[in-house]
This record gives sequence, C-alpha cells and structure tokens, in this order.
Amino acid sequence: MSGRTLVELRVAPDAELLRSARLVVSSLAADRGFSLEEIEDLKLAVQEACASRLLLGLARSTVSVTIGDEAGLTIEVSGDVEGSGEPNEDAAMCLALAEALVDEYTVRRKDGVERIVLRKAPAGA
Amino acid sequence: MNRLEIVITTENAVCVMRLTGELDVATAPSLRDEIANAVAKGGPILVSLEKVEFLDSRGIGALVAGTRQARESGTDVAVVIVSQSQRHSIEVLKLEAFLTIRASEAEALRALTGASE
Repeated sequence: MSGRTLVELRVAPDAELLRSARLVVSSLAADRGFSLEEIEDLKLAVQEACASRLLLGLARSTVSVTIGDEAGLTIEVSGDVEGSGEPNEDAAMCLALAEALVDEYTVRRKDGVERIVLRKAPAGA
Repeated sequence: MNRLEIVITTENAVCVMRLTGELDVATAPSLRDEIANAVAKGGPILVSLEKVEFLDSRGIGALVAGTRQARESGTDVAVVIVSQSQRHSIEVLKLEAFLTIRASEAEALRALTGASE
C-alpha cells in the first residue's frame, strides 16, 4: 500500500469482532470529511471484505485490516491462509457488495495470501 | 454480547418481528432461526428493520432464506426497510424483486393480507 499507513488492525476470526474494524474505519472516515452516506458505504464494504475472509476459510487466527490515506482512504483486508478458498454463494455476495460500495476494488496476492484492497475518496475531494 | 434484539408479536394473524440493533454476519443466524420457527407455525411473517442500524449481506441472506422457506410453505415474508442505504445494498445484490419490501408496517401488512393498498 502506498501512502501513509494510519492504522493496522488485527482481529481474531470471530464474526462478533468485525464490528471493531467498522468502528475504526468509521472514525477515520469522519475525520477526513466523508459524508454520512459515504461512511456507511465504507463501514459496510470493510465488513463485507472481512466477512468474506471468514466465509472462505481464509482466516485461521487473524483478519488483518490496514488503513491508509492514499486517495481518500485505502483499506487492505486479508486473512492468514494462502489461496482463494472454496467459492461459495455467501462469500460471493460479500465481495459483490464490497465492490459496489467503493471507488476502486482490487484483489492482490502477496506470499500466496489474497488481499482485498478498497479505495474510496470523499465526493467533495 | 447481544447486538440484535428481536421482539415477536402476532397481529391480525401475522407474525410480526421487530428488530433492533445490527443484523450482520454474527447476528443473522438468530433471525434465520426465528423465521424458521415462525414458518413452522404457519402464517405470514412481517420483519421490520426500521430500527436496524446496520445491515450486511449475511443479514440480507437471512431475509432471502426466510422468504424462500416461507414461500415453499405456502406463505410469505414482507420486510419493512426505511433506510435508503439498506435498500441500495439489496438493489446491488439484485434481490429487490425477490424480496417483498415495503416502506412501512402498514404497507407490509397490506401486502401480506392481500388488502388493497
């Protein structure tokens, strides 16, 4: 991720804990002039990206969320398991929604681990 | 931690579920269970998301699964959604035509009971 890293978050792969990633993203987005609607979109996009790691079995002990300030906010979400997981309809819904809510959606692979990169800028930027 | 509260009442033979909190990957299974219980009892089901602050795709998935289950049993589920962003999520997933979505409980009740709108 280019740009400055603002926060790195490691969350146990527990659906109940994904809320903490949403709260951090929400706080950073509010500080950076995103509208309420844009903040809701970002919260949901990061939730879906994190949930997809769980549903695909790609997070054994942690889900990593790295938030940077490149072109608005850039959020990289990854698990700790190599590969792409077993495709399933639930995970596909997560990723389809995440992709629709951000300006740029990219899937990268580093050291065999898939990373979902979400980028969104405030409309007024 | 209980982030989703579901209050269930029966009104005019309709099972009404009023949700408060967050309907997401962690809490959606409890809604699935409640809808399955209601389907087993028979009769139409109204699920109100008016007080749901956060809805993710797994929450939407629970609504879809419940609706499918109800229709297979000869009844239906109507969903009350007032949030534009929540409606937008359903549209992105192209599920607005499958789900019976209304903007108020009164409209949802009319959709379920067949009364003229």
